[in-house]
Amino acid sequence: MTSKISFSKFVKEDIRHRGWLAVLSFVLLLLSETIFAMLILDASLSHDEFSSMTLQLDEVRNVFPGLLNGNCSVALEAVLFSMAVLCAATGFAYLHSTERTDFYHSFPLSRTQWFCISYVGGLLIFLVPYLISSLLTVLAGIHYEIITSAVLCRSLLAVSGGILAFLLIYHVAIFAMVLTGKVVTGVLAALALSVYGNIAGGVGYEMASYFFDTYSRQGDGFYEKISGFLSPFVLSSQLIADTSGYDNLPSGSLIYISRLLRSSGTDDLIMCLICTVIFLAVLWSVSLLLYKRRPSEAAGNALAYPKTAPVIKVLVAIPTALYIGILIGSTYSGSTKWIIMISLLSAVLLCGLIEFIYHMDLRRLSAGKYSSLISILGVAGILCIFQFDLFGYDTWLPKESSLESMSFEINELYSYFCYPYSISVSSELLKDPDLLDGEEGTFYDFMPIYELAREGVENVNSGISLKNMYRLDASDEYVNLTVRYNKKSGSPSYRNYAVSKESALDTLERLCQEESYRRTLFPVFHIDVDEITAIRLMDIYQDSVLLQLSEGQKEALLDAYKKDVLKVDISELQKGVPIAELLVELPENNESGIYNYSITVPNLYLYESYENTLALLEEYGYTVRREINFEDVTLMKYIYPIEADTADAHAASSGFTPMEGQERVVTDPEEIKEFLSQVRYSSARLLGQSLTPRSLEITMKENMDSYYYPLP
Amino acid sequence: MIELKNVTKSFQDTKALTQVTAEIQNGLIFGLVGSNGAGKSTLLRLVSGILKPEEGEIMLDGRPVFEQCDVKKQICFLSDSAYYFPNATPGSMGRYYALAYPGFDQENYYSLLKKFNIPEKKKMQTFSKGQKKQVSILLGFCTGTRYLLCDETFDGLDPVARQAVKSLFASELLKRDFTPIIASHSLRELEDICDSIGLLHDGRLIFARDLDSMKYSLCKMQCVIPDPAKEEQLLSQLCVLQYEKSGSLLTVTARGSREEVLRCAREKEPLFAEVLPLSLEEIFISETEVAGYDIKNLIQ
Repeated sequence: MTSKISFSKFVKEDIRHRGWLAVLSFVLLLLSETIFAMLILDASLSHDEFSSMTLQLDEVRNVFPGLLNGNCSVALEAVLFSMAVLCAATGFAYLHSTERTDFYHSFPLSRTQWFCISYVGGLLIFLVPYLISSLLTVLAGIHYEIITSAVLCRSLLAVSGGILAFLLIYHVAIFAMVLTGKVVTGVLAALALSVYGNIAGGVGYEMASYFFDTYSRQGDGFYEKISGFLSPFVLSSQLIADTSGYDNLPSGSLIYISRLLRSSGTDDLIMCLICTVIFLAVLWSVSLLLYKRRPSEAAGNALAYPKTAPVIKVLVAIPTALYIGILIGSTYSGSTKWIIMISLLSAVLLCGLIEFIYHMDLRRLSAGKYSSLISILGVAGILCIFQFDLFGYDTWLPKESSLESMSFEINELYSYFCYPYSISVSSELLKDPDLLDGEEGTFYDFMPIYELAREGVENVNSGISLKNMYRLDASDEYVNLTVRYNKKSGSPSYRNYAVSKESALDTLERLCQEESYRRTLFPVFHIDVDEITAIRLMDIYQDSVLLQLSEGQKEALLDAYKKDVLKVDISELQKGVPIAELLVELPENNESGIYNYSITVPNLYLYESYENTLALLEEYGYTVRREINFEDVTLMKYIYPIEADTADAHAASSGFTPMEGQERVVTDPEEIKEFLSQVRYSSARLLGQSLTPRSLEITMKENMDSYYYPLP
Repeated sequence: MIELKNVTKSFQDTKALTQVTAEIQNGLIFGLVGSNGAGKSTLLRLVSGILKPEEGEIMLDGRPVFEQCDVKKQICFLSDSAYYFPNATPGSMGRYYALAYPGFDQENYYSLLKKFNIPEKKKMQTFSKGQKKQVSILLGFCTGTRYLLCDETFDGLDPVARQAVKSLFASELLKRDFTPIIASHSLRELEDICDSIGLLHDGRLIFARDLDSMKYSLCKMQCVIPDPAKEEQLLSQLCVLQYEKSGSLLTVTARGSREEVLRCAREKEPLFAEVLPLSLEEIFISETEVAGYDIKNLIQ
């Protein structure tokens, strides 16, 4: 056996022979890590206009670990991954040359030793420059006085994450190089293997979203849970994000840096590390095993193990063809027929391409007929399953007895309601109602929702689904319903349905009999009265008036509004017309106090039945105006409907045939008065407003501003 | 001693070697000859442990070679197209070989480089093919291994270098336990230095014998036999590998000692009969022709 000393000397020689790569590694890492970090630190800490340097330092401290592993630097991340592929490719490229393989393998060293020499050499070529760059970056951090013991610990974790991310791609690339016999196919295989798990795993979910009418992306499905761990590239990206540990980043400040960060949680870190260790161990062992068994004569062939060629072809061709089909077919057409056609065409082309890569001979494009046939039939079979819904995905309705609870949300509600979280940059400050996945939206007495879901399934059977409901003549009679079935077995299932507005309203009415649900549903209950900085009132004149109220008056007004909301007949919100709305201003990022941003929560509509609120407003000296006075109008323009059929009706009645979208200045006082009597504040409805093709543009005397009003 | 027992090796659909069995004695120079694609390089790569045989076994002093570092320490393989690192110099290659072969004689290596007039520190990418070959041979010699496997060693060497290399082989044989195995097309070169010869054809080992005994067992004779019937009788009587008739002059290459062949010819009352010297090249052509590889078919 070669002694340990000679092993280290061989490693040293290996690094020496790849000296250019070591230099390249050092230069790239220095630029993308140390220099980039210094630029960011300098740019972040030299802004004098910030009021609090201490808080600013905190922000930079949170971001700093991300500068060490690529989470805050796309360039560094790209360098990490590129170096991993380069180190593996240069270290094991000799396997792809008969001359070089003969040279190395004729020496009295075992294949295990050669594997380890190349492996360690490649690792050191990256590791040493990376550690030096990281050390220099930390020293830069010390210079900028942002390094504390906590930051140092997190930086160490981040660097460890960077090393592990490198190792993941490095191991995959080594595996690819050992598996193949040409450098080009080796690099292609490395790229493919890096993302294969996610492509193969994700293609089913993508197809479901295009082929199934009721498919919903809501919730943490099985794929969403495992998608981060399916392929080394995604896992390493997640590892980089998780080990930078920026979860405590206060929102609002240094937004331009914060935007560099990707959303991720450290909750997954342990799972990430476990998966990484498993990936690394499996890939290393399999690579070594393949290396030891690798026939030396494999050099120059596309694959080192020709018997695996048909299997690899099928495994690559099927998911890739489907993925291409979805990518291209869905980009230019919503129809699944194009996905089907392009997928099948891609399968044929991919089989030819793979055979070309195998043989580098155009005459052998049609070689491997059986594997090509299996690939094309496989693609066709999967497409059939989805196209004809052979497993009854869309018509599936679980038995009531199998359900523990249900929850739902109606998409149109989010046009009517506006929750503080949806307009806040920092969603952490204000809690949102999670109607679908939160406990607050879960119904254990779920029959009303179940009946609604049943109608959704029946609609699917009748050809009415979410995908085609907007093309229906009576499209405004349907709403977009998402249902979550919480099965007794534990796993939830989600479906999207198109259900009639009438049924949805009926269900909402039944559910809103519970006060707790109203409190969940209506945004006013998600506003902290103590946080309110201002309340405005907007009526038919559409100029928002700042209400001059004391804190107590604000609270009383909100209480009155809550009382009205709790007792309002839900059907009025759909069938009635709002006469005004309250707009509540809340501070944004009040915790840090660096910025004085504020957000406005609109859509707190007022109806005639809101007696408590209207009375209190009167008491405070604010009267809601229901109509626009004739004298207040300077100019009125009638805007013709865009739809041709409605335009025809108008042409018949007025004897004037307008062009699409044309407008006419209304000059006749009687006509103005007639239009003013029809004008309402808003056409907002709980489950979506009806189409109002006609509208008016009115210019007010008071401020000369123009406002648009829909006409019924 | 190197023993090959029923060694078979295929490359995908091509059988490179089929059931090759041979013994290569220590202390002798073994020449491996064969037509193009006969399997010479494959055999050397198998013996050096680069390739693993599909069937059969290769033993070196009673121990298998493949993946056995201790055994491989006794072997140095010099490929037909030797590989050198980018920017390598003869000096750096020597240092690399010294890492792998503990017995590498660096002093002797540098001394030989000087003798062959090869600059130690010059980049090898500027070297000619012959110079690279010389460095390869010198590296092989200085490893100190018992077995030196040389694939097309004399290709690209000038006559002076060839002679020098031959001298090196001779002096190494005198100095230590040394067994070179040389695969070559240059039969005349092998004839000069080899003690025994193995002939490979189409993946099969046709023979592996001592060169002298081989020459003794084959004979080339020229004769003129006036009676055609007797001439026909002679050809059927002898184990003819090759014969040619030019006018009345019959040239025959046949198995058997020169005395036996000459006696048979004289029994047929020839006008003239004499034995001609037989070169290794003629032996090669005759034997391969018997094995179905007819050089005349190629020319036609």
